[in-house]
Amino acid sequence: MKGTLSRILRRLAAPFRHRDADADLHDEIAAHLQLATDEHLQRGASPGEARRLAALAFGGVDGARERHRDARSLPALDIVRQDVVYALRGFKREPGFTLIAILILALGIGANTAVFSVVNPLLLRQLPFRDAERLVWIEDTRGTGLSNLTYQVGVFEEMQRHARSFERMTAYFAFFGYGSFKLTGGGDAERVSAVNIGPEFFEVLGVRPSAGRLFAQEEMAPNGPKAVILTHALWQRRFASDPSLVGRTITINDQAYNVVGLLPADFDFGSVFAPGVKVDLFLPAVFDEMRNWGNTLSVIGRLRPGVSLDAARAEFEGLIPRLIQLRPEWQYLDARLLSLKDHVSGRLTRSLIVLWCAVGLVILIVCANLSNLLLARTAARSKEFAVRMALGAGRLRLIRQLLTEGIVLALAGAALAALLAYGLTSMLRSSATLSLPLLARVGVDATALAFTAGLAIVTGVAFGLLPALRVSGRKPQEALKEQSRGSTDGRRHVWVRSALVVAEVALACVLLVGAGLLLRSFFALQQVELGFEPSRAVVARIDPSGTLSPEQRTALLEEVRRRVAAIPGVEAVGHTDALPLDRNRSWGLQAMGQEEKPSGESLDAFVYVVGPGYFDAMGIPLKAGRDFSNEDTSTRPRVLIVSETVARHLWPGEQAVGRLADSGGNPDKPFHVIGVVADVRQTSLEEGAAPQMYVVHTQRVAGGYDLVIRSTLPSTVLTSSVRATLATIDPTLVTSEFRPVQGLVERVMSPRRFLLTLLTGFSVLALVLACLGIYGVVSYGVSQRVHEIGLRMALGATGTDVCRLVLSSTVRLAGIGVGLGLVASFMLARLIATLLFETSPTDLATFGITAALLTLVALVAAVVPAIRAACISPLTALRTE
Amino acid sequence: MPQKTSRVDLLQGTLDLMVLQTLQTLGPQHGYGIARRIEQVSGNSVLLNQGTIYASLVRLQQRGLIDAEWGTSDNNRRAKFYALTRRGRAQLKEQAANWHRISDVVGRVLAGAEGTGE
Repeated sequence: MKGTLSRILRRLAAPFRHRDADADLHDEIAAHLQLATDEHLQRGASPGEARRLAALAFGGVDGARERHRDARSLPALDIVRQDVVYALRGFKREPGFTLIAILILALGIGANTAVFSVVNPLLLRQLPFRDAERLVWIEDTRGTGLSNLTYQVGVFEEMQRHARSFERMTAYFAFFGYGSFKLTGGGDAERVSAVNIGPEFFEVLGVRPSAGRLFAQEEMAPNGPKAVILTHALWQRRFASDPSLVGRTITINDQAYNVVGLLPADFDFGSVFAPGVKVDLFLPAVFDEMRNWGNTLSVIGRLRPGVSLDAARAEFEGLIPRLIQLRPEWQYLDARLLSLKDHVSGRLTRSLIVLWCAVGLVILIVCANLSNLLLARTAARSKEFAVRMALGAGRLRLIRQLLTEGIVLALAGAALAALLAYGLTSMLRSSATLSLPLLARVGVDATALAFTAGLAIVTGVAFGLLPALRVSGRKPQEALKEQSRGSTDGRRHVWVRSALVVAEVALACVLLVGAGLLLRSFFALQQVELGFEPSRAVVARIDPSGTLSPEQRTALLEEVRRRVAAIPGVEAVGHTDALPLDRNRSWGLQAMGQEEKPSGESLDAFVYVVGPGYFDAMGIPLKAGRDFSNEDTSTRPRVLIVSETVARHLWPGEQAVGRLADSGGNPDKPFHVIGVVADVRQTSLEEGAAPQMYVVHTQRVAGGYDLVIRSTLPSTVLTSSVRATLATIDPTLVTSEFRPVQGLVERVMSPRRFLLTLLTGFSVLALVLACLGIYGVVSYGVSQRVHEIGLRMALGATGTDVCRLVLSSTVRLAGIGVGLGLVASFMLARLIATLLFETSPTDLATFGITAALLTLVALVAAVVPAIRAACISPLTALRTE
Repeated sequence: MPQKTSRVDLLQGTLDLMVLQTLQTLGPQHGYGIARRIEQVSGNSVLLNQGTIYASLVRLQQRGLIDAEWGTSDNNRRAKFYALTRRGRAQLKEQAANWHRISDVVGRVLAGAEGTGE
């Protein structure tokens, strides 16, 4: 058994060790002849005669060597080796062709590898949790705001109690971004982001601590021991990977917390549950304290083994009505169950599939292009092949030779492509502005490399096949006899190549239309009325100390406002607990004096706790009434500013200012509407106006705030003077870097920008390749028709006529391609309709511009061969035969 | 073409067996010695020429039936010497027995055919 294996291995290795084995055999044959000669000499032959007899008895040395090779290796592999060597020799002779071919392949395959590296973790691979396919995301369905997607503690507990499909269920506090956690001691005060997690959170995900333990039951109870679990990143950064940290205490918000455990390095909460957010530590969510907070929990369940998602859905369909019967205020309860993976990457699925299809088109164009290049090359080599056939090379052998050449080229391109993709994905991964889930897992890994190699081989065969079939299909004597003039074969050759170019143009057209439509959507999105003015404003997080009384906090925030406003160049300053396009929560809101509506039908409005000056700082126009002021203190009547949508909904056709409203079922202390402001885009740019309400910070406590400053100063000058000013008030107040408000817009645009950038890149590549293809086929056409053109000129055609002839045939070619491409685009554009914004999938302008662009590019590509044709001298043309 | 291949195939197996037997009889021997011995014994009816022996030798070597080592011949020439391995010896025994059985059977069948023909 072992012997068989080693023999096979030896045989497999043999073709690559030919030199050694051949040298050895050469020595052996020499020794053999020597021994034979010796014997003949002994018998009395003359030296010459002895050598002759020895050689005669031995037979052909080449034959012996050939048989020796056959015996020691696998003949098929040997042929592969020969083909590869032959291919390499050919490529060395034509470095220009080889370089261009490899470059084109590297771009085409590289684009595919890069996209695969993105698609693989997001669409194909499971989430980085144990048995991740059993994890389910459960959310309410009342809207897009977070408050409408989450559950009350009570609801979660009832689900947990009754749902049989789940082995375990857990939840985390979805509004963790509002919390304010300041880490002090051992370095500068630092704002950390913490998530409060319910019981068994890590158990459900299947994450084990790398050191220490998870939360104990008493730590999840009210007034229990204060415990914290740190992420690997925080432990490394802030505590220098101190192994003795577990069991010690750290100070958060001036309170001591016991570090009970550390999480493994590969666990990244943000990349799964909150793309773009970095989470530093985990605290227990004390459910008993959160019971009356309203919808606060995001719920995750782990299915029992063998239970399908559909079964769980069916169970919940029966379960929800039963829960509704438990409590009247749960009347509008609902549940949508998604696999956790769908929740994480579901929204990106379509973009990614579009991207994948786009690179698929790119590789098709690359194949068409290389087929064309190789066809030109094989045409030039037709005599060589004819000679080989005449010398006895079989048809299959020739096909194999050409396919080998294709695969060798493709593999060389793939090697370069892997490097390219590696660079591209590293760039993506380190991009700070891109908010994509699982970004850290994007990269060229073993799977991506295997994909690349596989793609290279398929590509090599695909573009090598056409030339191979063409060459082998000809009779050698015809090829040997063939002359360029008027031969039917030459004409068919042009036809095949033209078809390839038409295909290239059509594919490029589809890509261009797709990119064009997305580009228009992108521009439309940039024109969206945001409701605020992002330019010239910066924002930083401020966290007043947790030990201050409400009065002290108010005083501190007013001091901050006064001092910052006094900095020269600052136009406006204000603070808010939630920024547009950032985190959100919503409360129900009702107009007082109107008939009370059931809770599910009351208006859900996004809530912002802000300070005076916020609207000016953010550039949110005040439409009626007044801004908050320092007079609106905690002892004064509660005041409220609403967005136009709220005003329109609650008091249609009437003045909103001066009205009373209720939020949270507290009619004794109604809100007095004092102002109306413009609607602001909150959950996304695409989503239109949603109801919004603003309350003043003196009348409602919030954890930390974002301080927004509008100024005419360059941001570096501004931030340093603001930092210096705030440091005199409280050196630990500012807990983040200052960042431009524009960044909020950039972040929500980033997935779209990502898709658009890649798609545009692919389209440009396609355009260049199509251009190259057209150039190649037109030049070839001209060289085939030198005689004909010469004849025409001899009969009186001018250079202009010839030029027009060439250009018009090019336009015809491009026209067919564009026509086919437009039809295909028309049919395919509907597939990306959901990715478009205020752009019709059959947008005329996009289609028109694409057609014009492609035709223009085709003409540009044909100009050089056209001029060359016009310069043909009839005399030389007719004489060259 | 196919006809030729099948003849070589037939000879191939036979030749390998003869090489093994020669090495059994002579002990370690170089390619020339083996070829000469087979020529002498068979009266030139097996080898096309002496060069043919080397394909057989490399095949046997890869199957681990013989070993090869460079050494010095009786008349002080450098040559590659082949020797049977333990597996080679076992294989020879088995194949020789097999061969005898087959030739015995075939011989008897042919003899019988002659008998009925008369």
